[in-house]
Amino acid sequence: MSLLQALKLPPVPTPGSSAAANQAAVAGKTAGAAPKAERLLQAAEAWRQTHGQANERITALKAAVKSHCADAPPALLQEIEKGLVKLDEVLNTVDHRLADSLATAGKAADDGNRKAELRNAKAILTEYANYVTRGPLVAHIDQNPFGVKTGLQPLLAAGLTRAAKVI
Amino acid sequence: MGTITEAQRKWLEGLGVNTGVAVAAPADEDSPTKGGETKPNFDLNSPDMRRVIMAGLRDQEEKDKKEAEQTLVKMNQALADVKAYLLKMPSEEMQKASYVAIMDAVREQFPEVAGLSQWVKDTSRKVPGLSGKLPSPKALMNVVESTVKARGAELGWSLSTGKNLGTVNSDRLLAAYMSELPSGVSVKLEGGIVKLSFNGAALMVATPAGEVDASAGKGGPSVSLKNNDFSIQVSNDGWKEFDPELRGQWQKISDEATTVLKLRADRDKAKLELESKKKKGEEIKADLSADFDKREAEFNLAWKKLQEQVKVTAKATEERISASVAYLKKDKNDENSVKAGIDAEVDLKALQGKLKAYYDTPSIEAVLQVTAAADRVSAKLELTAVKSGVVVTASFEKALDETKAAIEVMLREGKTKIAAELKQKADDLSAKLQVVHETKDLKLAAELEKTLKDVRGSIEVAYTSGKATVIGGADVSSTGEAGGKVQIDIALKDGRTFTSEGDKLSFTANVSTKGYKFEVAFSMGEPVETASLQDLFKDADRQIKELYKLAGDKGVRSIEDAQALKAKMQEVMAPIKESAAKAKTLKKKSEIAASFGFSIEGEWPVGGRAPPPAGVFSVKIAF
Repeated sequence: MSLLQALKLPPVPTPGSSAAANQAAVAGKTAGAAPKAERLLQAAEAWRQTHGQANERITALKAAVKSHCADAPPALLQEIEKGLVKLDEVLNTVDHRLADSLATAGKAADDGNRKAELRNAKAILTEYANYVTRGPLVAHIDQNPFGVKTGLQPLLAAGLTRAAKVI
Repeated sequence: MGTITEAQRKWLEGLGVNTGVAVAAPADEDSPTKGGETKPNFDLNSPDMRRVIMAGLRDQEEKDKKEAEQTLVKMNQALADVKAYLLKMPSEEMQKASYVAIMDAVREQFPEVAGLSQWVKDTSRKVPGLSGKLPSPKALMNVVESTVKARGAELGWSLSTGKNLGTVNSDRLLAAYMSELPSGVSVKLEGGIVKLSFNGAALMVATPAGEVDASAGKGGPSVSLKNNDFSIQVSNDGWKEFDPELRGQWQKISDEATTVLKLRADRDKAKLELESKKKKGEEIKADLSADFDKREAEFNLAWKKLQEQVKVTAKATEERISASVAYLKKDKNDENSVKAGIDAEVDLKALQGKLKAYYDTPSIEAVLQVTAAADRVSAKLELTAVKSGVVVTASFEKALDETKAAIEVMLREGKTKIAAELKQKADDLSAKLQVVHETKDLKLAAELEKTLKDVRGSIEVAYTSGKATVIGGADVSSTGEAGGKVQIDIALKDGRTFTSEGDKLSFTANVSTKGYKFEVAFSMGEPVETASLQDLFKDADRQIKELYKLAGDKGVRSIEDAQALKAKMQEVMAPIKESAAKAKTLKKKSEIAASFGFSIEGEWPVGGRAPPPAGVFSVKIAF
């Protein structure tokens, strides 16, 4: 029994899991049929969901660490609290700008404006992708020894891949 | 707690957690989680727990935002102060200066702006919602450059150097680095090599219980009480319109009117006595007449003075309050502000009515009526200005954090009684600070400032009586003087020099228990991008602190083999080399101009390899 199960946490969806597969299927269905604007708005929403999932996992990790160290001396607890705040860097970097940009592109009045906003979205996507694949913090979180399978890198990478397809 | 395994300890340390502090406190033998078994006692998915988690997340976001907003107010003010400082600088002084000299002076005078670039970078990530309001990371250089140019000084410098473009270019480059690197980083150019250096205090860590040598802490434990600015302020544009001292002036006039009333009563009493004697046909002695004359003169003088004060203060008040009314009514969409403006206008008219009555028939009673009306309107405006302002507590919080760290040291030192009392006071301060944010109660703010001052005073007294030192660095001391037997203690006491030579840049770190110096060298021909240097200095600071923490690691303390210890130290310092390898250099003139934001005249020098700065200690570790 993994700690995740022991803590009654939801299973971590992987790219091949049913949740991810459902999302991919939804994206696939709409890919051809829906007009570009609608797909961009859906992609914006999908990214917000991915961001939300990542937030939940990081929060769960923080809670697990705090639970494990709950009886630590106050000085160490304080140190740990400070250290855990650093985990927020991930979602402060890989934030909602992508969703905002996709939504702006989706609501653009004409093709010219849409293309301009998509260039912005692409730049943000590249920044995120660099951070997710090369940033040490994401890997550090996934390698945590507190038994919480965060799977942040695959989660964020899958979310970015979906966004990239629409862009 | 569940025993922290080695892997967990390392993982936490990867987040910058100083796990060394845990060793100082003995493990609870009765802990239900003894033996490393993880026994979570709550359900993370329960609605209550999720509510707590979400509330925690929201609180943290709110706290970050508030802190960032407060610092932003300070940064903007500091930039405005820098500009004002440069505009006031005597022309003669400015003509003799250079960008480097000016930047040096600015960083010394306004240390907060020295960290602006790094702060903007960190804040734009931490509080993305504030991105649009943040200044440019190059704001300091921009302010300096534009003000210098506006005063025509740059042209004078070019002429004075005989149009030596090399000097002009290097001056700008060094100033640009200075404007974006933290205040502690010094910058110089020697023989075409840019040299940056930073001096840091040694980190003192607690060694595992039982291993501290009896001679440890001969010099005493160290606590830091350097942040002596603990002011709580309200920042509000409205203050510019409304002079908060006006209310005080009217209160003073009210007090003086009461005094004049008393003088009048004394005079009337003397007059009554005099007239009564006259009526009775009694002899009027000279001293009685003199007494009356004296009282009459005193009253007349005070009354005249009071009338002048009323006239001057009333004029200023009418102008200020009219300006405040206009300010409050300016934004039609801000209903509360407009309402406050209308209220103030009504009160102003009431004040003007009282003033007219006083001017028509001047009397002390009329003055008191005027002061009451003035107090009413100014009190309301003061409240409005405070309510719509932002309470700035950044300095106070910094000093409070420092104070709490010092109290922790006291606790560990065994000064438990006094430390417990002070800790209670410090915790109360944190709680009450939140109240100040919510209520904007400036009276309470003043009390908090006083209490913090008292708490810090008590810490200083406790350490002075204990013959201990109060210096920089707020951690437990023991590494520096500990032992002589443990190899890591010896290595840190004697000092180690770490050097690395690369194509882009070279660096040297001299580390000992007396402190550390981290120096970077690279060719001016291929300058390193500022962001890379910010990262490098940050990484170096972190890793050097990790190096100090080795003294608190039980495993490392058991290493007796010099080579094994060297390898361990290299491993800790390796991320600095990785950070240096990632540094981006600027090869083309156009890249340099774009990165630093200034135009380049003439040729830029050719790049080259820079040797590492000189080492200080005999044991050198190259990697």
